Amino acid sequence: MLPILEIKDLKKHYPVKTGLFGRLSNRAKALDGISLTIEKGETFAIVGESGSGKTTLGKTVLRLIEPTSGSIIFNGKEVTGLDAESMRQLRTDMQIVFQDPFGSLDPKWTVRRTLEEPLRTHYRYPVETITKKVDEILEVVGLTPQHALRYPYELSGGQRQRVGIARALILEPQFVVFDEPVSALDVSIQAQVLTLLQDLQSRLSLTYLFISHDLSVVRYISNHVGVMYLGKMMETGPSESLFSDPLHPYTEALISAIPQPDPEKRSERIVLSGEVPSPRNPPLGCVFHTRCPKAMPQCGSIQPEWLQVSENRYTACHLYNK
Amino acid sequence: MTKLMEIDQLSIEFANASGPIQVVSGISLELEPGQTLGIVGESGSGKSVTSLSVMGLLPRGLARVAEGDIRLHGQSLLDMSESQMQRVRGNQIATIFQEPMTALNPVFKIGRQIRESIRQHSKKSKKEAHKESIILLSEVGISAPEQIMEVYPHQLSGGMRQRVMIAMAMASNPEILIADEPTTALDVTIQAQILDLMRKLQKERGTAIILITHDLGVVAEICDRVCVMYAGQIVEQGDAKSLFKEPKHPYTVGLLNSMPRFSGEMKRLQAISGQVPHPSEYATGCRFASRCPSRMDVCENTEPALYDFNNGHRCKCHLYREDTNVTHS
Repeated sequence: MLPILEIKDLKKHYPVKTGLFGRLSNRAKALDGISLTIEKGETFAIVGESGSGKTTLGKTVLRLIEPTSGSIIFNGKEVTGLDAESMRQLRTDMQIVFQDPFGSLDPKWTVRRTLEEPLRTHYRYPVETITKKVDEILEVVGLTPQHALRYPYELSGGQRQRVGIARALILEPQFVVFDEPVSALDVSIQAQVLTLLQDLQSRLSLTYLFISHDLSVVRYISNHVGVMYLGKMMETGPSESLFSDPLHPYTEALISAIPQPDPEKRSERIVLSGEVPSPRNPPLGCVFHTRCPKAMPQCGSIQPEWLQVSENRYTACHLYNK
Repeated sequence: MTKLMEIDQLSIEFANASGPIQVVSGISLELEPGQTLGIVGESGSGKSVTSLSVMGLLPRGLARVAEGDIRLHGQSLLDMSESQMQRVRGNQIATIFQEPMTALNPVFKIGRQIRESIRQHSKKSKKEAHKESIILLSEVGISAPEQIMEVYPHQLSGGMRQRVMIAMAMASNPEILIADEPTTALDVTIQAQILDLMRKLQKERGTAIILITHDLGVVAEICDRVCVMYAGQIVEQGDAKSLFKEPKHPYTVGLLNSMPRFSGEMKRLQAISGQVPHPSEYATGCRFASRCPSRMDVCENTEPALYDFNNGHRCKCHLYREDTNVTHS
């Protein structure tokens, strides 16, 4: 079967200008050669720390940010070259839900107005149809028609995030990007939203690109995982095998840094020294070598290649370069 | 062991147009020297307000302690004058906050801000304070302290800023460090560094830490004792090991079940239905009753007592009526 989304060697470089005349001095590589394939009906998660480029990836896939080079193939169709009108039509199939349920809703619009907007932009439905569709989608995300009359400030964080999800789903897309959808929510509300996302996926046969910094959430919700660091993919694989047997030292360190809700398991953690370097000036060779506990001499000069280690498991690390 | 700090039946009210609203109701807890006490709860549970009241930093005119007492070495903090309180803050109790960017002054260099906090609480010359600042910065794991002294806060990353905040808090060698969501804004690998640092400082200096957080994972990682807050009350407290192993209160159980686990088999998350009530809508009975899966008739109208399971593990829930002795009414 054709994968729903295929990304090949995707790059997004931002020019860095310096001096009085804005001379181009450097390029910040927010995305540097990302390739991945997402199958229909699965959840592909992207994990990484701040500055890894995971949000840029999510937005670039929808062309909310224009890529510098590379290709994005959605349902067998190249997306990067499309003109504005075809892109607009395509967006009914590709939607996004943002992290901040406070900032991503218009404070002066009622929930109903917010949910009607995508329908009005894309279709010419009669008023009754629009009203009916809004009522339906509210029920789907676990809200009632009474909520439609409210303004965002009258809703809790969890309810706002449900509105954000409803807004994305009202166009009946096939593919949804979630950019840290539960990071701003309390634990008990986070669980409500995560289970809602799971139910919606099986009910509406959706495909998710799920962006998060929280590995426990990612392990819970995803089928496949990609680990990003400084604009590069470090490792991809099925989530079960990636988390139980990480290949890349960075994945290993990330996993060991997660605090476990079990005081008996205060294990010896791999604490990475230092911080994520600036993407304007990434290290030569492997971008992770400055913090890597297993760094070897060649890591500082030679960029590791993207290798297939076993079936479905890929990584970019010299440890596997035999 | 002597008690370093004691919070006794503390209630805090906020002023409101339609009369005062109680946001913290009758909480009691104790802190021993060198202990790490975790206060966990979701937004609106009253955990940050509690820590502000300990520091005497409740917004004046808006919030006040309605009942109860906070004692440091047996002496009431609420009876102290502003200048006495000023001496306690910084000397005996220091705080670090969630957002280290807003807690540092953006227009002064790091060095000046640390020197100032040292000189505020001790009679040291500028030169001595400068030397001490450098020692403090290297103690919190900053590799080039002389350079960091000369930069402005915006030039530092979140993790570095939090290290600077910790250095400033430790400047006066406080007995108690209150850390309000110290790692929430940080990445996991940086969070691990900061938690390690807090553990190291505690070991070296014997500082007691009150850690306020929403993250049960962080609590399990570094706390000796845990208080779980819900809707302005402590619903359960006990030592970390027994609380995580045998959570008693349905809310604690619910919280643990709604967290995705990183290890072990995958089960569907058990979300707690509903949401945290607004302080003006607290029920007369158990405040968790409307969301509780084990709700009984008695929960609707009667507030549960705090039941004690001998080893200091206490739980405020009607489920344990018959098994144990009542400590507080």
